[in-house]
Parts: sequence; C-alpha cells; structure tokens
Amino acid sequence: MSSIIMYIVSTVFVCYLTFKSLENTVIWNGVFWIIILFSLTNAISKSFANENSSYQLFIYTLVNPRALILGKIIYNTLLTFVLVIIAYLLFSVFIQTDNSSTTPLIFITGLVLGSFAISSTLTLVSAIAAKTNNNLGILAILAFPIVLPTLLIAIKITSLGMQGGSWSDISDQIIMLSAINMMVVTLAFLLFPYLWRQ
Amino acid sequence: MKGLWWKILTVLILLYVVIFSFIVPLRPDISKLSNTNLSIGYNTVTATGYNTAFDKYTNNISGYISYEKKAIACLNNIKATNNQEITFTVNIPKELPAKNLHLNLSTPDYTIFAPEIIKVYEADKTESFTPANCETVNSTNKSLGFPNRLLLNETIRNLMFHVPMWFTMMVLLFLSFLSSIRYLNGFNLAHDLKASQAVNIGLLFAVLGIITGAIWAKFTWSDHTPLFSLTGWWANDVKLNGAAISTLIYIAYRILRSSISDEHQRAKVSAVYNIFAFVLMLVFIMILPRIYDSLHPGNGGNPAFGAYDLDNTLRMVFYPAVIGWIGLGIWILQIKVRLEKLNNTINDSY
Repeated sequence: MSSIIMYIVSTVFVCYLTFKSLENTVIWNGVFWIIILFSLTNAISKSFANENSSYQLFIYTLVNPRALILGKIIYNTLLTFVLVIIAYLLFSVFIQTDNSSTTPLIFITGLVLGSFAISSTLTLVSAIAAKTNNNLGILAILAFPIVLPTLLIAIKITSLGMQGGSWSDISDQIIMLSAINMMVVTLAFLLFPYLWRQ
Repeated sequence: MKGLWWKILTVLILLYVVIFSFIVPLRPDISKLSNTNLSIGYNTVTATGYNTAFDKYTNNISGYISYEKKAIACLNNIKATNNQEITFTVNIPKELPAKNLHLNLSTPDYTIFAPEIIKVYEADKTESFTPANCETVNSTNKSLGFPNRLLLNETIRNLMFHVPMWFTMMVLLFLSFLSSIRYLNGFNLAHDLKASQAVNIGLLFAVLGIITGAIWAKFTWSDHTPLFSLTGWWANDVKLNGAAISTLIYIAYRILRSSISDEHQRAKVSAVYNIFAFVLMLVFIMILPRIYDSLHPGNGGNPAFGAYDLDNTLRMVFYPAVIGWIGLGIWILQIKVRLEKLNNTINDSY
C-alpha cells in the first residue's frame, strides 16, 4: 500500500515539475487518468501473484471461486477508491487547472464508474496474468488494450464534468460505462471458476 | 473430394470479384462546374465530367435543373468542347423552392444526376413555383458502371477489398470465440487449436484490412498530401482506433499463449482471455463510434453506404466479394488447423 502511494506521489511530482499547470481540462483529465491507470495496474497486479500454491489450495477447499472473485473485485474497488482520492487530492494540489465551472456530482460519478471499471477488469486480467511467469509485464500487455476504451469514456465524463456540462450531455456515456461495468463483472463471475480449477 | 465444392466456388467468386472490380468503369458523372453559385437570369456554365465522352453525343445532350424530381430550368445551347467538357446556358427564375438544386443530363446512352451541385443564393424561397417543361433525350441507361462519388472517385473499387477484410476478421474471431467456449465445455485440446489458429488468421486479415484502409484514407481523407510521405496514412477516427485496439488485444492473446508452457493450462487461460476480450471488443466496436464522431460512412453526418453509394452494380460485386473473402479465410484456417494437427502428431511420436 505505501509503495503504491509513493508511486502516485512521485508520478504526480514528476508531472508537476514538467507541466506546473495544465489549463486545458481535457489534458488535465487525460494525465490524471493515466496516472490512475498505471498506479492501479501496479496495485492490482499483486492481488493474485502474492499467493503461493499451497495457500491457493487451502482457499480452494474453503470457498466458492465465484465468491472469491466477487470478494477480490470488491476489495480491489475499495482499494482503488482510496488510491483515486489520494491521487485526486495530490494532483489538484500540485497541478492547477481551470476548475471554476466544475459540476462536482458529474465529476465524482465519472471517477467512481471509471475506477470501478478499471479495477474490475484488472482484477480478472490479473488472475489470468498470475498464471504466467512475467506477471506485471503480461498484465500491462493484456489489460491496456481492453481498458483503453473504458478509459476514453471516463475521461470524457470527467472532463465534461469539469467544463460544467449538464447531465443530459453525458447521460449516454454514463449508461454505457455502467453497462460495461456490469458486463465485466458478469464475465468475471462466469469465467473465473475455469481459471481457478487446476 | 468431399467438401471441395465450396473451395472451387471461393476461387471462382474471388476471380470474378478481382476481375470485375477492376474492369467495370465508373459511371459518367459531373465532377466540377465552372460556377456553382448561379445568379438569377442567364448564366453560362462549363461542366467538367468524368468518363462522359461528350463529343460522341454532340447534338444529343439535353438537361435540366431540378428540385425533388421536378424540372425548374432547362439547359440551352449545350455544346461539347471535348470529351470531358460541355458548356451550356441556363435561365434561372427568381422564385425557387430551394437554394440547393440538382443537375440532370441525358444522352442516348446514360443519364447523369448530380445532387445538390448547384446553389442559387439570391433566389426567393417560395412553395409555389412553375415547373419547366424541358425536352429530354430518350436514354437507355444500359451501361454497367460503379457510382462516381465525390472524393471516392476510382478508389470506390477498394470497397471490394477493404470492407470484406474486416468482415472476414470478425467471422474468424467469432469462430475463435465459439471454439474457446467449446473448449471450456469439455477441455478438448482440438478446440483450443482451432481457437488459436483462428486468431492467427484473423490477425492476418486485420493487417490486410489496416493496409487497404490506410491506402484508402491516403487518397480520400488526407487532402492530397505528397504520396511519398508518412502523413495521411492514418486518420484520427474512432473506427480506426477501434481496429487498432482490437488488433492489439489479439496480439496480446498471442503473447499470453507464448508465455505459458503447460498446454492444458495455456488452453484454459487463453480461452478465458479470448472470451473476455471478444465480448468487450464487440461492445467497443458497436458502441464507441456512437459517442465520438467518425469520418467513416454512416457516422457523424457522413452518408452511409446504401444511401447513395451501394447501388445495384456495386452490390453485384460487393456481396460476392464478402462471401469470397470469408470463404478464403475459412479455407486458410482449415489448412492451418490440419497442419498444426500433423505437427502435433509428429512431435508426439518422438
């Protein structure tokens, strides 16, 4: 946990030294989400990799794999929310932008939905990547193309929220992101038992 | 010999497609007017055509300006200066139903309809106008030709190659998806083999689709950048980015397969990733272009193929092209699956 927070602090500080301030809200949101994506990839990559095989066998005898993946998704989402809040506070303290016309509720909705989508996708993909030798590298390769379109929608919602857009402007995106979220969870729920059974 | 008929059919269809997509000429059309904004009263206009052969019909050309199939003004003194140019005069009335008007030309062999090519900004808009009664040459419209669309021009032939590549890729990836589901329902390694080979062939078609698409983008969207330069081959467009993302997803699938050595483990893990990735890819391909504007036909105010472009001649070649390329893809897949099976038997026997 502390290593991930250190990771966020140092990335934000590098961005601060490079940009100082970002007037364009779309670029601000883009950089912000990229920092979130990379730090989450680091955080969630540990969720299956740190368990050795005897421990996994022990868990296997105890719980249903579907309960396990739901538990992992919930845990990772909570972890994600904490990291996102820290990242948001640091990023907006260090890097100034024009947020005078922000609609907070839209911005927060975008953050919640987007980070939930990223964390649930990364949870399933990290279970896949844990079966290989090079866990972190494979996780990035497998997850980034899948997460990228979700990320684009999330960036769109949060930057519109920052520019003072109204709910009707982005209701499509919000519905779509919620649908993607539900689908990712359903797929994880259906597919994880196959990964779990050795 | 069993199962040979569709392979022969595929070869014949592809031969037909390749020959016809290159020999069918573009339909005659007006590509340019010397003056598109006409004033009220008499105007003299030079029209430049493409594939028109005007000098063949020197005294046999007639034409009129129309709005919603009603003639508004007749073209007079039509003279062919060479095979691509005619000049005519036209008397525009003061009261018109709209400011964007269509140009109609007819010769004994073909008719030309150029929608909304003429603008009359000075006109007074009224509902009640007097339709003109123009003499028209009887034409038999017998020539076979592809539609001549602005911007597309001769590149419309690429439709028979670029679009079926993506259809074939989607069919192959769908087969791979089905094979992965069947693998998880019984853990038969034959299905895994089919799933992985379908992805390989699908990637081949994706690369071909990207190459043909890049050539098409270069000549239609890039605003005549120099031919031997790196600009203009890619446009920032959702569908292009979606295609790039799905190609990346399946390259990641191949990397995942190559990083697991145990074959049952590899089959299971890659099947899970394949199903997950395919469903998400479908969602992105279907949904994303609806949020962001696209240059592609059918998005962001561009006319879709079908509204103007996909006429009967084009359909006659385009539909067989789709069937032919999909057939070729499945044929390659079959050969690759058989080859890999033989390789596996050879490896097992040592």
